[in-house]
Amino acid sequence: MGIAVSAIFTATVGLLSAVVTRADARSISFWNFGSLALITRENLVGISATAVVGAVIAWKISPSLDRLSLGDSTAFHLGVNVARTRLIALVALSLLAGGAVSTVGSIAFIGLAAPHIARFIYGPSHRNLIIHTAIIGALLVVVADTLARSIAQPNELPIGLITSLLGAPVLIALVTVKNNIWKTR
Amino acid sequence: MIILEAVTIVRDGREIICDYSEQIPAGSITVIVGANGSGKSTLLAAIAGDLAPIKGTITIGDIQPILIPSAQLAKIRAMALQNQNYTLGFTVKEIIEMAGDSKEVMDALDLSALANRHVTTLSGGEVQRVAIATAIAQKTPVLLLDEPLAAQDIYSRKRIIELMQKLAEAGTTVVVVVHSNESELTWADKVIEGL
Repeated sequence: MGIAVSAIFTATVGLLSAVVTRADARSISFWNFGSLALITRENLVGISATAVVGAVIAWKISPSLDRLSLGDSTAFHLGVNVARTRLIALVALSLLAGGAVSTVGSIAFIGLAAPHIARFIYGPSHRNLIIHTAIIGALLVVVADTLARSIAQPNELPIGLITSLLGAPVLIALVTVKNNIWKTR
Repeated sequence: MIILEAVTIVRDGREIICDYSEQIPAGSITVIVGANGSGKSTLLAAIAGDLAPIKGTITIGDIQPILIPSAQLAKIRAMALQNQNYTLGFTVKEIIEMAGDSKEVMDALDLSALANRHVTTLSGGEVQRVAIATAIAQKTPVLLLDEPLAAQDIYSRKRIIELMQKLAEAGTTVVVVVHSNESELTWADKVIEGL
């Protein structure tokens, strides 16, 4: 499902790139690779708002998400409204991911690597995960951005390149070392 | 008291239970016994509010489980599944405390020594006991257990049966599904056979 939806949106972006002006196409391409270079003060206000609202919602539904990880039936038996919790989680997710992506473009692997690393170190409790994923994600972005700006001076490498090069091996290592990182602390 | 009135349940297009009526007395242990595929787990799921009968009604006291919100229903009935599968590494204590206090029930089910173990590292019987303990920790007037004795050794079986008896004496309505090869059901107050 995710792959199919992703394919549709990738195709849409491809179509848009083909029909827009050259300047717009360049900004689409810039956004596709992701960059922290063009962030303005207004951007920071916007992303702070979506991050805070998204994080508060995620924090509120964390106990339900813990129960949901035991399976839909068990969560329901424990009093969780499964469909509503999923919907609220989707709203929180959209605010957090959408806010970030609309500001800095799509930076590969941060969203995938940060929660996995946090779960690996701090366990599966979602309240713990929200705080530590935010810290680890921010650290990964700052380190990757610093490397992207300094490795090939005076040129700046796309930050997505660095996060992929850093994030993918970390993820592979975790999966390999611990067999299944979803199951371990 | 749990009352089933002319209940018909269809699952995946197949009629599992047809026009079935039964009364399950409060404060007792009722055992539903039968072979694989006889519909005993389906009946338990319907009492738990997981499934809606296409005909007839199920009531716990004067409440129909399928008509009330899940949070309210969780205060009335608790259920332990037969094949509980834990995929994330919560500890035994963390899982049970998602339902309520853990200490007493962990002692009763011999889980105290495993309190800080990750559930993903437990044996089948231990996982089942964690699921049972979680349901009991919910402290509801109705307790539904699907094959709680299936993967247990003699010692654990005895403990589970004693705990069910203690809960029933204290007023809990315990409904247990067991496989038909379960020979001795002397601990049951009522046995339902041949759905």
